[in-house]
Amino acid sequence: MNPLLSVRELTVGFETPKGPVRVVDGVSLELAEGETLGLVGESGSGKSTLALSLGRLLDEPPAFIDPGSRIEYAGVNLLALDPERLRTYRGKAIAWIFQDPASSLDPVIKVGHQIAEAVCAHSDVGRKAAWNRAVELLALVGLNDPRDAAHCYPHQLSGGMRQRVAIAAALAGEPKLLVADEPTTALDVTLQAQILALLGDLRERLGMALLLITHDLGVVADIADRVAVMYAGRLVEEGGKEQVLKQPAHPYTEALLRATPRLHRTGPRLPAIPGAAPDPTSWPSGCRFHPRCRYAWDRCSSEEPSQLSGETGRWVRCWLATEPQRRRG
Amino acid sequence: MIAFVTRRLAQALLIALGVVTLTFILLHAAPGDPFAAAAESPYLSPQAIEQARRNYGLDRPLWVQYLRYVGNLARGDMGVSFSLHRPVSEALLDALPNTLLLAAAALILDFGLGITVGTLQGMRAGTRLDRTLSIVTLALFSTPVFWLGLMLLLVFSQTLGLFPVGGVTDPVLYPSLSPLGKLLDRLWHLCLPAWTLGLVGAAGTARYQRAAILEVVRQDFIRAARARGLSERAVAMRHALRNALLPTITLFGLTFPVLLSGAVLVETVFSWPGMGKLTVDAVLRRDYPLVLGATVLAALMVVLGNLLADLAYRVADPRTREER
Amino acid sequence: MNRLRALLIAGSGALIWIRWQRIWDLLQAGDFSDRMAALAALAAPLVFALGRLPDRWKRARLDASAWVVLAILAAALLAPVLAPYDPTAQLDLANRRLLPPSPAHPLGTDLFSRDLLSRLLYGARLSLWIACFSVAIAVVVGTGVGLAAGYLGGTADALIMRLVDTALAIPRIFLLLVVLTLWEQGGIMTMVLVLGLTSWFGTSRLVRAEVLSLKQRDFVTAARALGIAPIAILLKHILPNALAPVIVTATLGVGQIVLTEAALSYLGVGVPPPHPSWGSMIADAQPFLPTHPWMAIVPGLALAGTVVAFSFFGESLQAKLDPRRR
Repeated sequence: MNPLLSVRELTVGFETPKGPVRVVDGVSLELAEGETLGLVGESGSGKSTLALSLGRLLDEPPAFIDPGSRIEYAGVNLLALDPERLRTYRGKAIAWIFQDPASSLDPVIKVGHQIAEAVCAHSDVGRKAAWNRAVELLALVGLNDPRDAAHCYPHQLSGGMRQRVAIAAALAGEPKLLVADEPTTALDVTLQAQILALLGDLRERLGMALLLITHDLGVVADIADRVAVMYAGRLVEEGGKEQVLKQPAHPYTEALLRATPRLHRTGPRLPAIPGAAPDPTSWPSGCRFHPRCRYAWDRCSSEEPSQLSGETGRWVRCWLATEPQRRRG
Repeated sequence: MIAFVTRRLAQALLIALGVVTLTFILLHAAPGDPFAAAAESPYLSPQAIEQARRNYGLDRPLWVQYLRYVGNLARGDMGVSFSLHRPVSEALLDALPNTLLLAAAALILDFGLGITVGTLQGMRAGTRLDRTLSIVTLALFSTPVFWLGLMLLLVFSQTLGLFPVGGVTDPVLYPSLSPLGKLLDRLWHLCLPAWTLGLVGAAGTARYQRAAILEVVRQDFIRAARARGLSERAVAMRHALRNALLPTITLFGLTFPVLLSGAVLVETVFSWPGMGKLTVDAVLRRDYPLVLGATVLAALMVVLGNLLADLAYRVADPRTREER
Repeated sequence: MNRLRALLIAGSGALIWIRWQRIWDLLQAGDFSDRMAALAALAAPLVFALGRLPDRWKRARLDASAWVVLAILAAALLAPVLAPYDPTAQLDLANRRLLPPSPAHPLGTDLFSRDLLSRLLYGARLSLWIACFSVAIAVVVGTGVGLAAGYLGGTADALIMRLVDTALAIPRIFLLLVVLTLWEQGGIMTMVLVLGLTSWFGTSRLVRAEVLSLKQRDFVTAARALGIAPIAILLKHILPNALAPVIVTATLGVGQIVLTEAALSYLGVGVPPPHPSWGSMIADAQPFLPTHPWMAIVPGLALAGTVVAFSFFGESLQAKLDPRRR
């Protein structure tokens, strides 16, 4: 069966005064229908750029997508489409929700209109029908008084409600794939859980695939089927949720897991990952993680490992996979 | 909202009082006796100057003079014009409609053209079209308005013969025209002065609107709107333009004084019998009461314009609409 | 850069060669500014040959607008050397009135048989002279008032700012007309004073805003904690930081004041005749627009060109001095 979304060798960068900077570098990943992939990485790893480039939502220039890249949705290469055709895929095939719910809604238009507008963009319905659909969507995302809420301006709603509205607007085109870029980061802890539960619930009910982008492994543990880990513009590890979380193969994943707080567990202070995220203008030689890696040896700084796979859908980009004995040393 | 209006109204009144006070200070801080200098003017009889002295109560203590000055103005009494031998308020009220007509026409051109061009530039920032228009608007913005008027006059009325050289109506034909003809004649005379004033203003408005659009399109909700599959047109017209128009409303308040200043020059170029021409003639004849009266009136119009712009902004922005 | 330098040396040398008689006359019998112009003309080739651009200038890379501004300033400064005639001399009222452009009078003559090219060049000198001095007054007053208002705060600040609001509410031209009418139309110094004293409101607002934001910054707090006197903090720490936007507004202000002066002269209340001013040249040309259009076109282009050059220059300065704002 063909995957719903297939990304091949995607390279995205920005033109800067100092020359082009590649923020996403040769990333390949696949997503099946109805599947949830958690994409994990620190801020600055390129995961948001990846999310936006899926719909060519970056301003080009200064951004650019390498011509060798492919982004296939249901077999169609999105990068080859003209702007008007591409528009019909945005919101209908793939929809996005962003980190800050307050800023992804237009402050001077009633939220009902904003959702209705998105409904109209993808189906030939009248204003009244679109409005009614907007109210339905607001009910679907769990707003108590959808009729009243539709008449509100964004500033009249709370942060959690705004994120629900943003989700409702994203659902207006009945997308098959929802890309959620840090959907809970701007919210406080209790709201985070509610929104995550809502996303999980919607995915079940609407049969959507979900690409969940986060820096928080705890979020992934809740609802992902598979996990991909991104570091410095590259994917470094991918596998089933259980596999990656229980037996991380890449030292970076391991370090991330150690740095993730867990409820009901007391212990020593959380260890932070030493060093800082590398500068995209000059990625480290060899394996990009080697300056911060506790196991690194000379090979790591001179030669970049390729994707070393174990079983299907499970691989890691680390020399440790060839010399496992070094992990203890 | 009511509290805001009251507060803003009080503020406007305070500034109006400030303007009146400032003109009073200017009049009295002037070196020497302005009325003595005026006495040399061939337009004035000694009686007229004596009457003006009494009118301003120049023999009384300063604070009495001030209170009288403010009191008279509050009643709409601006004294008697030296050169026209009639009340200043009457002369100004006669000229005001012409100026308002010119200003209104120019304002429509200014904002209509400026917002269109600025939005176009902002949505296509960095393209050759944007760069060309930027140069054009900066050049127009720097062009002296009276010279632009003369050039339009040279091209469109003297060379091409399309428009009249000046005035509000045709002095010969106007009385014999039908009502529709009269209206058309007025509009025909309005064209060049309004375009002169409107073009220079539009250049400034376009630059402002371009910046406002650029400020808006950086924001996440524009990207979010695109991500929902809205067309570029819908993104530009519904989201970018609507948000960018909010700061442009406040520009209206700033444009008004510039427009009135420009009107003074344009009215002189096109012999347009409005407030500006009246004032310039009064200056040349040292007609202090008329110059002061026109200045106070112009300032009051600006204060009113600012007040309206603030209120409009308040109503237009849902975030401030129902506050307080 | 070297070709440009050779060109500049050759050009300024040629000027001395062609006009040496005039330069000699100016040195012997001119007034102060005439002598300065003559000396500048003589010194120019030397300066271009020996002088080197400071490294900082080279790095800042003067763009086109800066060169145009420099050229306009040079033309204004050298007006006495460049101009073929005395700008106020009525050459021959009987035979040389309203002449079209010709080799003897490249821009023709006016109603009083005065040479228009000479008037244009001297007009540049006068306009820029007035503008620079007015801007200097406006910057000093505006910066002082802004610093005072921003630093004192409280009632003083409120009072000063209400005064500024009030002054800004009166349309510029009306304010100038009132002041110029009441202050008996005097000489050029009156113009400078009046223009300068009515142009500082914007600057004072700007400086005040800058002071208010700088006051919050850490280095000012630190200075205060170290017990440095407020006036010293103001002059040593806040003023230099507030300077960049002031320089930009001053540059833009020169263009604006050139425009305002021209407008007043056009209305007949500005530079008193027979002094040459671009505004009054346009006013003088208006009756002859159908038959002698160049009389109005040329000074207008000079005016617009000067203002555009200063606007572009101001914008590029802004981009260089303050990368935050574009």
